[in-house]
Amino acid sequence: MINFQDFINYYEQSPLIIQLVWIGIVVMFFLVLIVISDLFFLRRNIRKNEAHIKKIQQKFETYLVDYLYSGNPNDEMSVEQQHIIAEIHSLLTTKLNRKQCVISLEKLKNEISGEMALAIQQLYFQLNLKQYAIANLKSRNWYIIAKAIKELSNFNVTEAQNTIALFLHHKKKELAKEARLYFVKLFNFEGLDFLNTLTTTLTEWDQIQLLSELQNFDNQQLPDCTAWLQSTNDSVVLFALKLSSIYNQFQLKDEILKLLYHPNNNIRVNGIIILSDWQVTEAKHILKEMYKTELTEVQEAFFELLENTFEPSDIPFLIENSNHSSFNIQFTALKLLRAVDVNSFQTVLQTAENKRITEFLNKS
Amino acid sequence: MDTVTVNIILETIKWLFLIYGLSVIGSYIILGIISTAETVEYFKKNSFVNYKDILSSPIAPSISIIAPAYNESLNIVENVRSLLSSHYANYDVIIVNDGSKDDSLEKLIKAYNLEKIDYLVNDQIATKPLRAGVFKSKNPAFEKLIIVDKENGGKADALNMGLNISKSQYVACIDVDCLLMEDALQKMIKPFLEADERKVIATGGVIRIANNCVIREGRLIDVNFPKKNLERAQIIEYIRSFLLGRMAWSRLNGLLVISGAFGMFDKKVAISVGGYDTNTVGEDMEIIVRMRRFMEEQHIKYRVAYIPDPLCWTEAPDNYKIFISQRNRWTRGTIEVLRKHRKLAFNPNYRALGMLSYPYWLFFERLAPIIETIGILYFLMLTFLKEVRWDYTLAFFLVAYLFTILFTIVAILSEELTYNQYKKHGTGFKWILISILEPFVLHPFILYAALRGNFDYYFKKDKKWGTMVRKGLTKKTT
Repeated sequence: MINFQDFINYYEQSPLIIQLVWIGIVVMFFLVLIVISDLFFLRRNIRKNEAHIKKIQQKFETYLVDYLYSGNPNDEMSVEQQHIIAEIHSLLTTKLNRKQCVISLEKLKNEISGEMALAIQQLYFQLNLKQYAIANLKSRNWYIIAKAIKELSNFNVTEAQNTIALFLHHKKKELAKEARLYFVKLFNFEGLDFLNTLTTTLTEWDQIQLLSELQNFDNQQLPDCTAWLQSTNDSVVLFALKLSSIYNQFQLKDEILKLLYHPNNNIRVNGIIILSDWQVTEAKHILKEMYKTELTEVQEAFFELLENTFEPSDIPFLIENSNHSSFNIQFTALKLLRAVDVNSFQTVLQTAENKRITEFLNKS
Repeated sequence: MDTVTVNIILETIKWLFLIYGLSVIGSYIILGIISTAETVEYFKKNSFVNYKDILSSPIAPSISIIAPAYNESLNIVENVRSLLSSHYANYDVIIVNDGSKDDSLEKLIKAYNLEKIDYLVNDQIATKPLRAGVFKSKNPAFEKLIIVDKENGGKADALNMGLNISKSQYVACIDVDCLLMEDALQKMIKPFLEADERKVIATGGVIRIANNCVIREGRLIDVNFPKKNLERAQIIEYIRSFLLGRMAWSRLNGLLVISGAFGMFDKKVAISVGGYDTNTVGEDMEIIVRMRRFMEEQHIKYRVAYIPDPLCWTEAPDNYKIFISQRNRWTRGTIEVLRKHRKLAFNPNYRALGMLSYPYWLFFERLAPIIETIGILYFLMLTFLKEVRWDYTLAFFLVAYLFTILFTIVAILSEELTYNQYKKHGTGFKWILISILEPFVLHPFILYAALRGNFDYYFKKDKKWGTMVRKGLTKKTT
């Protein structure tokens, strides 16, 4: 039977590499025991936490609903409401409970509207929860700051705006985004002023979130965004184009026509799409002149515009493009030709290279 | 050959194996650390994202879900219903019935009130021709659905037809019997929309194993740990691979593969490279490598992103025969892709793709089963020559085995800390047990399948996909 001393002797006589392997075995054995215990403790803690969170959330939700329905007709706080606030206060001693309280408040606020939503907001202030969020703005951790900004924007806390303004152009994109959303959420279109000085890219995701906030407001009066259409930041121009389209800023037609000369292909394409929706025929003439030197994607966008603005004078142009290398352009050119002049279409059928398109159009 | 030379050779081989083993362990540790950092970062960035914004956005980009189907009559109606229940607004579902010999098309026509439409397909990528044609529903409730019935050409060919048919900016390629979570599309599209200097050309998602889960009417109701060791072992293998592997490659921008079960692509780039290769069984890996190569050669900054969220659930093989067939195919696919794109190997012109990803896949994926087999044969030879030190053998075996268990449990801890999908009591013990057993119930069969894959690749060129017998994800509740 091997005893421990025998093992020590064996170890000392082994080559270095074998000694290292045995050390590795011992270390890993203990690490395995540690991670196995971790796993069990973790699962137990997760279950405990989830049970606690469920319990505390139910409590908060009950208090909040009771609070909403126990108000006085004269808008003064009732005794019962004061009692509920005291009860909730007593639960806000831990970070987890405060977090769950905020989540419950946000959830309820999103589900209701009008005076009840305002009442929830008032409750947030009365519980003095904003102080924690404002304190978190000083954190070194970007994640904590971003969550704090989000909370403050959800409850329309304007007093933090000067602090949050410092993050509008922060190098951490997520933080800058939350700051921008804060300003838009609180100040509507005025909150978009950061676009005047933005030098980094406003991604499509950022634009979607900004637009989503803007569409929540009753006042849908977009300010003049000419300056944004002239921005040197291409992403700002693209966002301004989207705003122009969604808010039907037809008065910006001339500004958008100028963008047909913009060096960025994406901007030219988006400009064409808007002008096509608005059926701006001047765009057609400008684009025809530039057509031959344009990229295929811009040419394709032009043909989409042509679908809304074509006329008999376009027949030679359509015939010229009936054998374009792009399938979409070929199809659109022949389709429009058939619509505007059947005789020309029949003539072109003989010389069209893509017989599939011509057969399809002839049949349908 | 004299004794001294033989000893030198044997000693060299021993050291080479040791270096290789240490490299494998070292790479796992490095990838594990990077993956953890990336997953933590992902969680932080996404914990306060409101995905609902994109659902109602007028500028949400269009997505086509492309799902090839071959003889899926058993569950196709339910599977399509599941795909149609995504919460995303601007999408359509293209089911490509790839020359099925059963009544898949008839069932779909009846269930969704389909009618044949005149449709001119833009043959940007050559495919097998249409058979019955293109169908759409007369019912406005199913306006997002397009059924394409074509001649059989294989999965890649069917996906290419989907690319031709799609009019969307992005395509999500999925196996028709996969269960897609309702918020999958908005989570997968996000990396594309967040891109600034580097264009995102593809996004991959984590595939979860649905065996023994409760699925009703195309929705995941209850997640259960499977009963069979083979299925359990595959779960931990997937978790290890996705949470401690692919997240790291995504961070390093070295991801060479997105699961064929679910991936999203920039359609324009996918078509620019010619779509899926119909001559390989590893078409999911091959298209990613080709798309990356294309972007490198065009000198366009790009990345391939990865989402760790469990967005797609699929059925894993529940018996060894099918498992071996699947892994055989994966091996052949890997060999085909690495051979086809061997120009990338150690080529600095391709940066991380050529200097990091390709060498890693070559040495630690493609050659690993060969080296392991040589190691086993070498060991047997030494045994025969009575040159084996059994105490040393035990030591090396223990260190490798303990490292495997340690790494596996770390992966499980990652899963518990992040998604915690397996909440039920008793699963903790099952996790530990399968971590201990996995090197015996799974790995030998992976090795065998890989060797068969190598053999079939070099000596049975006509072998293609093989058959995955599916039981279907739709199960009754117990």
